[in-house]
Parts: sequence; structure tokens; C-alpha cells
Amino acid sequence: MSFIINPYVYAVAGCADSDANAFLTATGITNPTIASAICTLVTSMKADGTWAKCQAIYPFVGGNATTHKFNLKNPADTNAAFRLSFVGGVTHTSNGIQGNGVNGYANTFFPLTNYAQNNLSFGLYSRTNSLSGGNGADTTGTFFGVVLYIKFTDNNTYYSTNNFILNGNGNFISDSRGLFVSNRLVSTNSLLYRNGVLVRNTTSNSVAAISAINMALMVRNNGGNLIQYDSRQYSFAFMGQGLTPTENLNLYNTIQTFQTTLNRNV
Amino acid sequence: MITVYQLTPEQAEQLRGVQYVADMTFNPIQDANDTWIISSEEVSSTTIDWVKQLPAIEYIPKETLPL
Repeated sequence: MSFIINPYVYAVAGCADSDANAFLTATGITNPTIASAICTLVTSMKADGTWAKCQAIYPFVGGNATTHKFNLKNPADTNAAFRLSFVGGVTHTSNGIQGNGVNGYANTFFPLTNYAQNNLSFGLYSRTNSLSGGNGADTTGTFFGVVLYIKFTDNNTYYSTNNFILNGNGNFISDSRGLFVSNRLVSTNSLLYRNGVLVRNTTSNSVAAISAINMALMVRNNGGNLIQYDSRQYSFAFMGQGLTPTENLNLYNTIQTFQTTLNRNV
Repeated sequence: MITVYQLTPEQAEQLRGVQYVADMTFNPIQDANDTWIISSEEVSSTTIDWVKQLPAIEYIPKETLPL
């Protein structure tokens, strides 16, 4: 008796999902725990519909810049695939990426114009409880864009979803750890979720993206000027369409399971 | 106190965009005194000898404007 084994299916740690396999192949990751976590992450997101809503997903696995740079949705080593470019002082560990608050950041090559005006999300999984800088991109002067300061040095949280960044700010986050998602589904309201739960609903009208500047991680790209570098450690980031309340909760549960598998959950 | 490493303008230009380890590039910036600096992470990771000889100084960030 003989057996025929599909070499593709068994090429990378036994995951049958082609997207998960493409990412594992691109990163060269063979660690079975990470491979299994990636496989479960992708299949869970596909099952609940959040996979289709994301344009860029950065799971930050493998512990170095080369593995952390790849977009799970499109793991090509190109700017067009939104592969990250790390610049300045960024520390890479098995827990993810961490800026130094001085000059370290990642360019996502994801332009603000890639976002739909009223259907967008930007998520970050923070492992650090601290006051620090911002992430995202907006325009100079008018401050319209997609930005997330989980907790700035003035103790306030700032987030924007194609609206004015000062609308909705306040000291309403006591712990900057967890999954934070700036989210918009309608023209009139900008939402912030933490760990799948709505924590802020601001009435603030959106504007169409007026600049093609790129979204940044660990710094705010303010019209091409990089300001207010962030020193938190991040274990996950994503950008995509707006998420419903159910999708926000589902995605949090999926990401939290992923982080727990990797022993880096907060 | 955050320690950073001082560059001349010419050195800053020389390092800008240069890879210091795989998939990470130098990012010279100016501090509050307009002195060019790079971070300790960049200096400790690079294999470029003259970069490792740069003088260490205290990081004085440019004033952060309120949002």
C-alpha cells in the first residue's frame, strides 16, 4: 500500500489554508506553534468575515524585522503589498515591535486615500501601559486623517477616522494595553473600541481623504512630518474597512486567542 | 535620560536610508538644538565602525506641541 501526500499542504507545519501558508513561506517561519497560531488566526477571520474586511494585517511573529515586515493579506516583499519598512530604532522580539520614542517607526505604504471615507478601521494591539505618542497619518494644519493616540503624554486619548483629530479626545482610557480600533461605518460618527467593546462614540463628520500620505506605525505622519514617536510594544496591527460591533468583538476574540497561543496576551 | 549619538550634517546625510541590519534603515533626526542624532538601537546594531565611535549625548526632543 502506498500513500500520496500533498507536498503543499504539508510543506509548512501542516496548515491547509493557502493564505496562511503563503505568509509562512514568505517569512520562512517553521516554528509549529507560530504556524498553528497563524493558521487558526486566518481560518477564524475567514469564518467570521473579518478577513475580507482587512486590507493589511501585521501579526508580528518570528521576532525580527524580516518576519515582522510582511502583510498577512498579501505577503509580497513590495511597497504595493503594504510590506512594512522599518526605519530608525525599532526593537523586534517574539512579543512584536517596539519603537524607541525617538526616531523608530514603520512606513506601511498604505495611503490615506486607500481608505473609504465612511468605511474604515485601524487597529493596534498594545502590550504597554504608558503615556506615549501616536500612530497613523493626517494632514498638516487641518488634521484630517486616520490617527490613534491610545494615551498621549497629556493623558488624553485621540483618535480620528477621516475627521478632525481633536473631536472625541479625552481622558477616558485608564490602561493602554489591549486591542484598540479606530472605526467608522457612517459619515456622522467616529468610534473607538477597546478589546471588542465600544469605549467612545463621537459625533464628528468625515471628509474624503485629501492626501495620499502613508499610514505609519509608532509615529504620526502629519502631512509628511513625522511627529510624536510612540514607544509602546505592539503585537498586532491592521487596516481595513469598518467593522460592525459584532465583528469588532469577534476580531478581538480571535486576536486574543492568537496572542494567548503565542504567550504574549495582555 | 535617553542616550543618543551625535552626527555631523554630512554624516547624517551619509546614513539616511542606509540599512543597518536586515530590513531596518538609519533615521537621522534633529533634536531640540538642531543637532543630528541617531538612536542607541541603531548604533548597537550596526557593523559600521565609525558609527560605533560616535559621541553619546542626552536626547533633548523637540518641543511637542499640544494636539
